[in-house]
Amino acid sequence: MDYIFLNHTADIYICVSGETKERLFANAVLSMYDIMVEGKRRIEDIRKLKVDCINEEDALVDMLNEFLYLFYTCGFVCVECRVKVDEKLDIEASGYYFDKDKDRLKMEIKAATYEYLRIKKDDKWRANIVFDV
Amino acid sequence: MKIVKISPFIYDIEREGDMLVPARMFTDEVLLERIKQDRTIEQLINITHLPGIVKRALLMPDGHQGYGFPIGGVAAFDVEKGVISPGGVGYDINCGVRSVALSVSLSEMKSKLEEVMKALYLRIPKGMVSDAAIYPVRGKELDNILTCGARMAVKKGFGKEEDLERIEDGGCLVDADPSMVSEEARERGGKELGSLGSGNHFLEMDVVDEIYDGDVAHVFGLEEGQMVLLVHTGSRGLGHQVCGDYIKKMRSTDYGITVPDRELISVPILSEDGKEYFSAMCASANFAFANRQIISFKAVETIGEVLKRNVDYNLVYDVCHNIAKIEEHMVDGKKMRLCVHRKGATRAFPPRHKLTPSSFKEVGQPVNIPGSMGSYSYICVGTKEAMEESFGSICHGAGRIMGRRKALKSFKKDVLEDLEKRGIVILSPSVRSLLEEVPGAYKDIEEIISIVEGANLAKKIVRLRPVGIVKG
Repeated sequence: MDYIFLNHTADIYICVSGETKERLFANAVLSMYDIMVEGKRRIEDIRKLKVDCINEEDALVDMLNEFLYLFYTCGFVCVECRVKVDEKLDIEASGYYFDKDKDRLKMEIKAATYEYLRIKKDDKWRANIVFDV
Repeated sequence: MKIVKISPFIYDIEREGDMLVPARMFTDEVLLERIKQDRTIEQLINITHLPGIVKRALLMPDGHQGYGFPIGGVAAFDVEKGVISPGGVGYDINCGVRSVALSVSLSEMKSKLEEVMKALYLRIPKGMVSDAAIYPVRGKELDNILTCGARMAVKKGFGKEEDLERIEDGGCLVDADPSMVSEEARERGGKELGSLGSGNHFLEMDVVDEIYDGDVAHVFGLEEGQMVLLVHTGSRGLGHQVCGDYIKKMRSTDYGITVPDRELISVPILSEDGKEYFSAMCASANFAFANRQIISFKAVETIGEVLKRNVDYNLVYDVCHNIAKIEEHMVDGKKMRLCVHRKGATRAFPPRHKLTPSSFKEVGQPVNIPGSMGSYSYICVGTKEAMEESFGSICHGAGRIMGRRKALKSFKKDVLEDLEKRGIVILSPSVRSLLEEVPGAYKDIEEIISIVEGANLAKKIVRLRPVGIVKG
């Protein structure tokens, strides 16, 4: 998985990376699910989402919170993700539906926050994200 | 940054640069060195930049780094000129702690403890509940919960009328407006009413272990050897979504407010945006009051079923620790209407305050301060000094000193075995979530309470010793 944990006293703080900006956004989604849910199952559904992208950092938080909403309302767990970054984020997410008899919730994430939020590019695209847990 | 020691338990940060007011930390020398190691102090100073802040920004002794406000942060804003900030309340709106005194003694509980805890573990929904919450609601019923809070829960049979007086603001914030809560928040949270959640949320069985003030303890309905139930949870996904919705909405507003941290995004309290957030926040808080009411009622019922007798209870008190409240306070000899943000801090009103419930009028409001998992918890009482020094606020618990990841790396299962050897029954869906919450990841509650008492913010009344824990 393309993320590492950074130190935070209360919440979960990660640095996620990707070869391209598109991959960075997709990896952020997959990282969040990796923190929340144990294991992976076969793809059952494909969900398409659009998120306004006037500001890329805001769009990153909005996208992650959209996925949290999907997870908590219908149990959608994303295992593959493609994101096109333009005036809107155009997202195609493949995944399955959480089943408490088969799957295990590792950690309940309340929200993706703006704390430390920064998208930058060095050898890769990287973003620092704090999740409230 | 200049930190000045005012007393062994009070340290001030002098006003400089863009700070509108100074900041004050209720801490001691040892804890001060700890909080210097992360961004706690930077986050506290950031609050002092917000328009309309009065007197000073405050950090409680259990304070630590959060997002926006530090956890343990308290700030009051002039209602006329000040701002309201969702980041000063947090995503878990009206997360709080309820203490319930049971008509059960430790001697009766002892032989059935394991059975009781197992029954509670099975009957009280935790983690991701899907459709398994105690009282999932939607539509008009959800509106009623958002409008009336614990009052509606009692009306639906979860508790007694007299419980309501022993909940902060009677368990119902009257400024709530369900129409300000989005469909997404309703969908996310409605089905979770009557569920504990996970993380640091818990349900705990304690025994009154030591009494420091018998007269006040008697007024609180507590005696040595008596069993007490503690419930720590909040507004579940509904509150999380409301906070996120309003931060997103405030992003597109332009009130010319510059904030040093985007998580501190704020709007004037009296603006349409401010009023809408406040109404939605109050509705979420009502959801949380109802949630704790339903859980504690179900827990008492479950205990009675295991003990095979009718177990009576008396609610000691239910307090919020993530909230913004409109309150009157004296500032420099002048009565002011303030919007007091308490994020990881608890209201602690003194004897004879007009908002102190009539049963506690002569002694002051009870304040529940849970320790870390397996350590003592305290029920304290508010003081007159807290009104003057901290807008009637004190700490909310022990406060983390170690991140969850580090706790997982630093502690092994033997820490849990040690707790079990001490006779504490611990049940959780995951060992991992228990290891994240071990006592070593938190400050020492004894030190926190001694600072609170040393600074005259509260007085300890009873000490509670845990004997059973259900973690979400």
